[in-house]
Amino acid sequence: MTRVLGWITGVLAVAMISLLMIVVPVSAGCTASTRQTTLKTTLAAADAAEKAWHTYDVDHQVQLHKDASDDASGVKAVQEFRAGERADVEKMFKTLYAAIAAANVANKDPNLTGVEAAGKLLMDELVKIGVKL
Amino acid sequence: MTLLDIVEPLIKGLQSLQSITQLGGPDAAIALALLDDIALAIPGLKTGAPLDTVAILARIDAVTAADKADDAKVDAEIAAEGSKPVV
Repeated sequence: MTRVLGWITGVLAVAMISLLMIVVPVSAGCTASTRQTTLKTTLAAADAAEKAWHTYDVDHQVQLHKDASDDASGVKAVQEFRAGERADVEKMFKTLYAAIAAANVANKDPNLTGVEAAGKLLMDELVKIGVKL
Repeated sequence: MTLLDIVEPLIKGLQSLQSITQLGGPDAAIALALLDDIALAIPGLKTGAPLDTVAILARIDAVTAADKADDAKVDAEIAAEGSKPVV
């Protein structure tokens, strides 16, 4: 059950990040109002994705420990996940939020491109970890 | 209806929308209108003050804090399970 819930929340995270991939490209060169809506939508998607990610994070770590043959190797697997993939995802979320903040301050199209790039990096990382569509 | 029943059409819809936007031209305009609909579906998105940059930046620290909270939950759950026998 835990694994299924983790998978579902992972799918939701990818779905929300997919939304970022749609919202940002079509909004390049848009009006100030559309730009603000784009950034708000992107921020809402990022927030939802982050919430879903943390549910996945807990479930996945617990599952790593359960799947291990003994306690020591379970703890080691959890520690490796935290230092590896999880740390990468953390950086990606931070980069995405920083990109959204930059785009909110400076009204230039390249900043929206930066938001798109940060969203894509995050999605690629989630897929690399094994979250499947 | 399960969560999967809801999620799968959502993903397919997003993928279709993405395909449309990549075509450009009038179809992209339609996609933008759809995005407006999506924005309307998120409470408070179309109204209120512009985004607060400080609040966005605060999320950067919040990510680390949330990770630490995740770890505390995991550690507690592992401790509750007890150690596994060494095989």
